[in-house]
Amino acid sequence: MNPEEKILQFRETHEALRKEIGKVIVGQDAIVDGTLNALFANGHVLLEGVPGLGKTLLVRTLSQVLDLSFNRIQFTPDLMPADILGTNMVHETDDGKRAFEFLHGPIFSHLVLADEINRATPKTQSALLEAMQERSVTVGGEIRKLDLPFFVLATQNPIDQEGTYPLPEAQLDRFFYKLLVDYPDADELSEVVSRTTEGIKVDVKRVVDGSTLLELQQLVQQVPVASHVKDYAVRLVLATHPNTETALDITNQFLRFGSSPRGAQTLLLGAKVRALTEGRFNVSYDDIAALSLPALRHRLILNFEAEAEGVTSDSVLNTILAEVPRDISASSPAS
Amino acid sequence: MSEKQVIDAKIQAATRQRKLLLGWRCMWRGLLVGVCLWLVALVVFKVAPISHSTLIWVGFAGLALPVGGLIYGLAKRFAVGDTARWLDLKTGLKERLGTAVELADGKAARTDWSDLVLRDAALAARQIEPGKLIPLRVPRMGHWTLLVLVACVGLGFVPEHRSQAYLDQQRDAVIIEDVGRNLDALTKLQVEMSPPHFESTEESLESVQELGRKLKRGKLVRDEALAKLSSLAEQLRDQSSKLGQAQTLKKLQQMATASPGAAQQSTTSMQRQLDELKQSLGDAQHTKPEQFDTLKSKMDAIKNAAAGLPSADSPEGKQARQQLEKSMADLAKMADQMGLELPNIDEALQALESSDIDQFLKNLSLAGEDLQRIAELAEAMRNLQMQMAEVGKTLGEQLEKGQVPAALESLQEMITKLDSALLAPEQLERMIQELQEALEPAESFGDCSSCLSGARDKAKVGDKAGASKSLAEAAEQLKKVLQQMDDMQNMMAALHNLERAQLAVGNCQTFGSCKSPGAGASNKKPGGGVGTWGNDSYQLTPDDLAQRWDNSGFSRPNMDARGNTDRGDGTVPEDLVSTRIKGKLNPNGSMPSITLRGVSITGNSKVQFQNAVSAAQSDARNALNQDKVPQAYRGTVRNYFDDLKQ
Repeated sequence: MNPEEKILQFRETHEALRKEIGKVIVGQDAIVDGTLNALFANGHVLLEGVPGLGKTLLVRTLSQVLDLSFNRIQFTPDLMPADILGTNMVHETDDGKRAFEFLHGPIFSHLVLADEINRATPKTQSALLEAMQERSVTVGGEIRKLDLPFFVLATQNPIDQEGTYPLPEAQLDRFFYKLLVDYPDADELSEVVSRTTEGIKVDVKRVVDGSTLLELQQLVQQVPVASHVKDYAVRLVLATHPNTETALDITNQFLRFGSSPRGAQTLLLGAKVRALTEGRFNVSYDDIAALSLPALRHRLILNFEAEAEGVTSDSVLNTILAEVPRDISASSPAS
Repeated sequence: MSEKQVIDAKIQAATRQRKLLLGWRCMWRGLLVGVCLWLVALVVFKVAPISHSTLIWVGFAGLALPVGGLIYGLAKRFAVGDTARWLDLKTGLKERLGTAVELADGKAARTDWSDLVLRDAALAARQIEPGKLIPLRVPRMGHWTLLVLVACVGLGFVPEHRSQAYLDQQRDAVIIEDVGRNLDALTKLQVEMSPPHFESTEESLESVQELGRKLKRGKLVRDEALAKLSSLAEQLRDQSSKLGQAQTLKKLQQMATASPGAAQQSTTSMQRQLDELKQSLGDAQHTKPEQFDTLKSKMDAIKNAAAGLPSADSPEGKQARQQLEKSMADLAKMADQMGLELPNIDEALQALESSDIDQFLKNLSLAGEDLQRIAELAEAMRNLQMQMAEVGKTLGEQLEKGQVPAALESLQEMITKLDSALLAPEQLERMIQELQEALEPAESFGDCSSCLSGARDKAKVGDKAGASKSLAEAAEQLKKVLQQMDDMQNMMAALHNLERAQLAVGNCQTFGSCKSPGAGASNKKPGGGVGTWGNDSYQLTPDDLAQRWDNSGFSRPNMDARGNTDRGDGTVPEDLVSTRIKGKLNPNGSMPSITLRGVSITGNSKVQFQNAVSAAQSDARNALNQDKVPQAYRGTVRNYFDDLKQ
């Protein structure tokens, strides 16, 4: 299959996924697009929003449209790491001897829903670290590979809610995107109410299997990125580093730590997916800029002054986007 | 055309468009900066005395900036990738061209993906028209440029603020430059016309010329210029005095003053001039001066009568016309009798007959000018005849009267005779007698006397060749004296020029208005100049004064003696009542009316007392240096101004 055919397949798959999810999820286009974008970029998504906005439903629907195994973990304060990863159990063999047998935890699935992830303690939250980055878990000194594709979708309530534990920075950094789920507007809410109170049953079809998804993820990586576009992504990330030569005034004022290199990787991978979904074969500045908020917002650590003044990561990022020029040479006075 | 070629073509077209745009913007930017420069320069020029040349340079810089901007823009080089990105930005191609150019130019091998990107970019590039991307229109800074330009033009009508001291300085500089130019030109002309014979004279004239050049360059202020002029004049005066002490030159100078023509020209030269004048005058050479005057007065009377001629239709007019024709006929007859050729009189008569009064008056005026010219020629001829009459008949008389050219001519004649074989003994005897008589007056001319004595003795013994040689030596001596005289005259002329220059700089007048130091405007007699003591007997007449200043705008009070006209009850007019008591000055107050050089000056004093005293002292020093203050008064004048300073 040549690249054009693969791209065509990618777009058809993407459209089909949107269409099927759209049968269940009303509105929330940005969240759906963001989730699908992360899925094709082989990244994990953290969905944040107050209860009842359809976060879990979105993930469940996604599990239905993908021909992949799915597990849901409900994070609670008493949840332990072993409850996620699995544990070695002692059992008696046929010859009467006793031996350890590994009992797989819910993490061993293609699609894992970590529901209300911030209700568990940081210790339990950190159980996902290795799985999310390495696509493997180590239990009892033995490394166990996870089946690919592996995709974690976590939901969390806003951190100022009662009984929540903020995710550690290392954990946050492993999420490809952090998507903020907002309230639906009047029309969307009306549609949601209709669908959920009138007993309408919606059937969704499975659109793509695991192997195809892996192929499409490889296709995404082949999308070319021009050096000046890559440079823009790098400059955006560098602009978030406080007290450096590249830092902006707002960075020095409100940020304690900036984005890790994973932020730049996320920007470029996400931009590649976005380029393909928009029918282009190359990445543009707009792709980078459009994905800056979901890709970087959870990677910036605000300082006390920002917290005190109610400054959010999004506002800092918006300022950085406004101040960092896209193309230094082409936007010169000669233009 | 391949995808790559399509993209390259579009990028090249876009590059040209970018250059044009950049040039256009840089030109406007340059123009804005230029007009701002003009505005700043104009503002500075209006309040501070910067030179006009600076203003002109700024003006040129202001014009050069937009041109430079345009050239910069058109000459700017743009990389292909840079222009591709610029096109992406301007056309919203989402970095298609930039990525395609990078992939096409990259060292990596072409892949299916890069072909895909190139095809996509080429497809998008085909839709681009670089010429229409950004139209050439006046940018926003153009409005500012126009505004500043209007401000510049408006500022042009605002008068410049200049302090009185600066204006004085400028006026002095112009005068000094003018004086320097004239001094240099006059000395140069003088050297060309009469080259100096001695090294000392040459050096002196060179130093005068050098000073003229220095003044011309405008590097000296008034006081410095005066000091240098004064110093050099003093130097020249000393040199002239030394030369003038020689008895020979003193005598020659006296003779040159008493009879300038005879002392400076040979008899032959004067005779030649006389012949030429006689030839020019023709029959009119015998006309007496009073005849010219009579003819002139008649001509004036006819002219006056013609100017007020009544209409030709009236009987009075006809009668006046007949009278005029008769007078004209008499005038023509009289001119004819005097031997004068005045064709304009005949033409005037014809114009009168044809009743063309304007032409008549014109011809009459021309005839008057001709008459004036002939009268002047006749006067010159008479003067020349008188000068010739003054020339001594013998060598002795010529030497006695200091007529060196004539004496030289006589000596040459004697030498010729001695060299000739046809010299009769009687002629030789007369020559010996003439030489004997010339011995005493020749004593004033150095060794001339001994040479003449030697010639006489040799002639007596019949040594004609030896006598001829001695006479030639005597002639050489006379020539040397003549050269000394020439050099002295050169020195005097240079000194005269220096004194004019001093007067011009000292009185803040142009060189041309100071025609002769110590002389009146009419240049008649020395001693008439303001502030000089050259000739105590000379008195300025009202006519002299009237010629010096233009007082046409002044309305003077009735100056007639009391009783001649009715001037009221004799009370003093209000504007003549004194408001200040002499000797009491109010600081910063209104200055009492003073009269300076005949002009009444009133107003607020803006000059410091010390400065005024310094200026007066400088003027006095100049007067002292010009040697115009009598010796007896010099000490008093110097002490007076020194006391003022203290």
